[in-house]
Amino acid sequence: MIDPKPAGTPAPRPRRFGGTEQQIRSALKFYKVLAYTTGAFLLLLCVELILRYGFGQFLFAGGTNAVTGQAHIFGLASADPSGVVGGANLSITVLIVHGWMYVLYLISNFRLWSLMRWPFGKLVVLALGGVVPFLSFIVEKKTHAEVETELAANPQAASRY
Amino acid sequence: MVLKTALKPRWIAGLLFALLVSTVFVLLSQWQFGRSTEQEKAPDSALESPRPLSEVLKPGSFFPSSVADQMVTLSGHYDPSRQILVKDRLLDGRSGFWVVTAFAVDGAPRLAGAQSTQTTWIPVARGWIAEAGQAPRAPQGQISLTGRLVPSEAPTVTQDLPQASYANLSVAELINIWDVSSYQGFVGASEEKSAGQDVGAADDSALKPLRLKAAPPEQGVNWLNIFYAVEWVVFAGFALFIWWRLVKDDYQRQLEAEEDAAVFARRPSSSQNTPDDHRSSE
Repeated sequence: MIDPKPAGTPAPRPRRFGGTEQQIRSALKFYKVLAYTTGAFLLLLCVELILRYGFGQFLFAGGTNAVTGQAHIFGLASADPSGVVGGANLSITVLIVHGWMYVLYLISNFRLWSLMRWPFGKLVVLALGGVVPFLSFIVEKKTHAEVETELAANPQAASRY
Repeated sequence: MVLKTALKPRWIAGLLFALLVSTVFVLLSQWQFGRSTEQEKAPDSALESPRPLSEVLKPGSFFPSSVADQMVTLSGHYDPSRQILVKDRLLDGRSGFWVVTAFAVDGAPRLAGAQSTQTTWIPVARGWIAEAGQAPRAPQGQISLTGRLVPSEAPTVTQDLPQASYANLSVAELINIWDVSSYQGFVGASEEKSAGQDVGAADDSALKPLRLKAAPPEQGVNWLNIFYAVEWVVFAGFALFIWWRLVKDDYQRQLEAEEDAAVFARRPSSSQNTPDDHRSSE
């Protein structure tokens, strides 16, 4: 078979990104903010779960003490039956906020991943980073460095517009 | 074409995997939807231990929901002439009638007002009968009664009812028919004793016991579970979207490779490994 290409080593496939450098940097920042906030809320969630299933306590703000009838300002109270009536349940709030924040975190993962055109496994690593306590901070640091290195090494790879 | 890329064995396998993942996510969503309406609370167990009626409810005053379906004890006597039937009542799936008799409550406070009667009454659903003609006469004499205190039903207008039979057990309606003052609820009898003898409904007689149960507490929808259900559906869509992204990216890479090859072929003298501008041909 005749090789249509001229002799010599064919060019290795050049690295290309899925967006401009500005887009990548904005995605990187979005990812960083969410990696830290989700990571922090994950730690709060761990505390909440330990209090709830280990000690049967919820954190309440406001409301009335169900036993004594006195005003409850801020603090832990029995979860079941509820030790506080009518107050804001901060434990459940942490649970809900973390749940939705994780969705935003996944969106930020997806945005960075698709702009960088990384392999699929990389998206899985980013997503799992938000599930294991403290891991999102480490993965974020590594990913950040990696993006910077790739941007510096492939100045032609980003789209210009 | 993108379709050609999508039909590569590895992307077909990828699609099957994405479909599997999204199926699991949809099932998780259904599970959360199911949980959102699940019954979490059982009826209050305090309703099951009988309390004297006089402690629980005052005639002529508000009927608090906390004592609805409370088991109560009371004593007094029936008036056999004040008896009606309530139609379309089910017992073990069979349609029949409730037998409701006026019961004069001993020691009940007299209602205020010129029309109030000397004694205060309460309708008692004594039992269930299959045929309208089977209604037995109410037992005579002093009776101590145990039963469930149930709020009055709302009256409904129904035409062509048989003699002495009604569509609902409405205390407001019964007050006018019997011309007596009454508590604003009724009792579903579970035990009637006269001088130590059981005189109530029995399974082996025409009048069968009602065995009313306390209604389960009202249950709201758990919005947390609803939101989780929505979240899982979104994730299911996302799994398929990611598959599509991967296919598109593969197709894009193929186009770029062809483009690079073309650029490389046009410049045979070029020794550069990287084309200086991959968009020069555009």
